Amino acid sequence: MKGIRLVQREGLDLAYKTEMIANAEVWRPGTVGMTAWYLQRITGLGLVGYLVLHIFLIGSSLLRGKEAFDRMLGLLMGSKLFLVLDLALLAAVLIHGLNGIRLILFDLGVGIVNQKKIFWTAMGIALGLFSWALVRMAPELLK
Amino acid sequence: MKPSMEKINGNPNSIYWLLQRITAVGLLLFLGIHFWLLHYRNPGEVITYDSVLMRLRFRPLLLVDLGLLICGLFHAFNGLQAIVQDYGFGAGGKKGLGWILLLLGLVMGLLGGFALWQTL
Repeated sequence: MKGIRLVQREGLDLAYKTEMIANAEVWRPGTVGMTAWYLQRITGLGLVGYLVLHIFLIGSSLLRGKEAFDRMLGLLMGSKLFLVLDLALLAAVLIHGLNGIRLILFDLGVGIVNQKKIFWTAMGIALGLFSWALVRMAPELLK
Repeated sequence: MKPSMEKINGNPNSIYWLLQRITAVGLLLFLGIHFWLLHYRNPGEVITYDSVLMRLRFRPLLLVDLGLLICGLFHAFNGLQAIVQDYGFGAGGKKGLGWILLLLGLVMGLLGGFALWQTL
């Protein structure tokens, strides 16, 4: 626990040193920090909804056996709409996950003063990974 | 040390803050594997009951699914709990909502856990 407390303390120290940035730049509508905060919250809520639905549908049909499972998955995965929703899910996961790495860096006391650059870098990586997935999915979408 | 720092470091609730970070790192790993195997390795493939059994028979992948279930549910419901704190539900309301979220998370965990267990 000692190490963990030390990390927290350093993170807080840095937060105090950059108090002006935290107050004047981040907590203002329309800024990069606030946009990141909204994105994190909206994608987070969407992902919770998806997770509950996912566990409920997959879990309950698994419990009902082979026939029920294959019928459910055939219905869900056999459509193009599913592929589009799957890509939307990936987009939400990438935004939430990569911005989440940015937030963990801040907790470790790394990069708070460069938070805007780190946000755009994270979103750039998200866009890159999403484009790669889109290219992989494209033949199925265009079928 | 500033008083507010003392308060945060000595706060028993900071364990939830830490667990939120630990499960986040777990999710980055497990979700990466899950997405690749089930969605993007073979785009357009419809998953079947038999393919699920075959995948879970390889025990490391069963552990990935179990890790996803635990990390995902904790991260999701602890995240909701954190959002609840931002709004004016009052102390009693926040506590009540916290219990409801805990119960919902446990029910989902049991459902997912049983589903995984019966594939063994």
